[in-house]
Amino acid sequence: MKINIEKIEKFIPKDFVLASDLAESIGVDKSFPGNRLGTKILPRISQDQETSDLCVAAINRLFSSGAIAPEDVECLVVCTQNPDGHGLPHTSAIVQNKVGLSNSCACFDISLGCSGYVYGLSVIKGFMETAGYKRGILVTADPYSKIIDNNDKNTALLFGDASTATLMSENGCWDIVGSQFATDGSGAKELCYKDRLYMNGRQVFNFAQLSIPAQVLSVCKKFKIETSEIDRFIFHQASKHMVDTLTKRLDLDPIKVPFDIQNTGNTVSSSIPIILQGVLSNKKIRNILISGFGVGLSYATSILKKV
Amino acid sequence: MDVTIEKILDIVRKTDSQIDDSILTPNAVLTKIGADSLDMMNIFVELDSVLGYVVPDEDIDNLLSVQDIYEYAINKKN
Repeated sequence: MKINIEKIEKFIPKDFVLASDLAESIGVDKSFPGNRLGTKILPRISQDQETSDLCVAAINRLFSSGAIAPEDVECLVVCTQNPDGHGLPHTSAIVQNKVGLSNSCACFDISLGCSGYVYGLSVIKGFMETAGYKRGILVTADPYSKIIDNNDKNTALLFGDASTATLMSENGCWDIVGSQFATDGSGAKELCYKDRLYMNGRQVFNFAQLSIPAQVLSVCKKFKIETSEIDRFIFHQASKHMVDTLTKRLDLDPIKVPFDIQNTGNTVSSSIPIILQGVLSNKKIRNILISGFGVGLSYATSILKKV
Repeated sequence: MDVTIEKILDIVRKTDSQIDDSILTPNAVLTKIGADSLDMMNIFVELDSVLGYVVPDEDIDNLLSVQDIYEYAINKKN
């Protein structure tokens, strides 16, 4: 039995702040977020919403699409570093109860940031294939608004809240054909929680620009696929500046590198599946490379192939 | 690789920064001729590749021009 990606749904909270207004309030040029970061609207969970509520909203979209019913979910994996409470109990258990999944549903959380979706896909696929599960859901939900200081120029204009739910099943038609995972823990201090979210933008940028092109070329070589055969390169949507520079350093055709965070901001582990959802519906696309990088400093790249 | 003023000027020109090429000289303060904080990140990530080491954060604030960067690289080498 092989488990593949069947369907992705997303949820974007209705509440938001305008990046340009926020910029002005902290002495940054109003045009900077839109022109340089690519952000316009930064969605925010409301005061009474928890991370588990974000998860529930994305999962309910899978249910209402008719792709799967609650009683058929055999496993639920939630990727977050901003769980309900202090992460005890794990958010996936809270979600399991809120959406009414069966008690026989396996539930666990993965603690990863922007590399989380790429890691999570392989984790849930391997877990399901080992356990003989036919249908499971991978959720990403990391509402950074819980930990952002709105006066911090390095983070306040960048991040938005969102969630995604990816249905994994034997009926899915997108296989994960090759992956590489890596970590540089020496840089962990550059993106971490210090009473609030702290980010050394330059060091994170350096790390991504030096590590990701090398990993992309390495995974392509290892799994014997030319970069010219890849139809779309979906990088973690960190910022316009980040993705534009990666595109240039890898000498990729910008048409093959989707980027859109105008109405979402950088949504951490949700950024790749939000873009991937739109790409999967394009019938001409056969090979996709996804690459996530961030907190850890952790990075991961996978090649998806239509079967 | 030997670092020269011309090499550093080339790096600055090739980073698609907002710097006005026509007024780029070795002594021009990069942030005063159009570079913003993100442009400076691009310049230094390219520079790090050429130098073979990452310029520490605490040194960057003092490197305002191509001339500053050149002198820094030469001093490091020696």
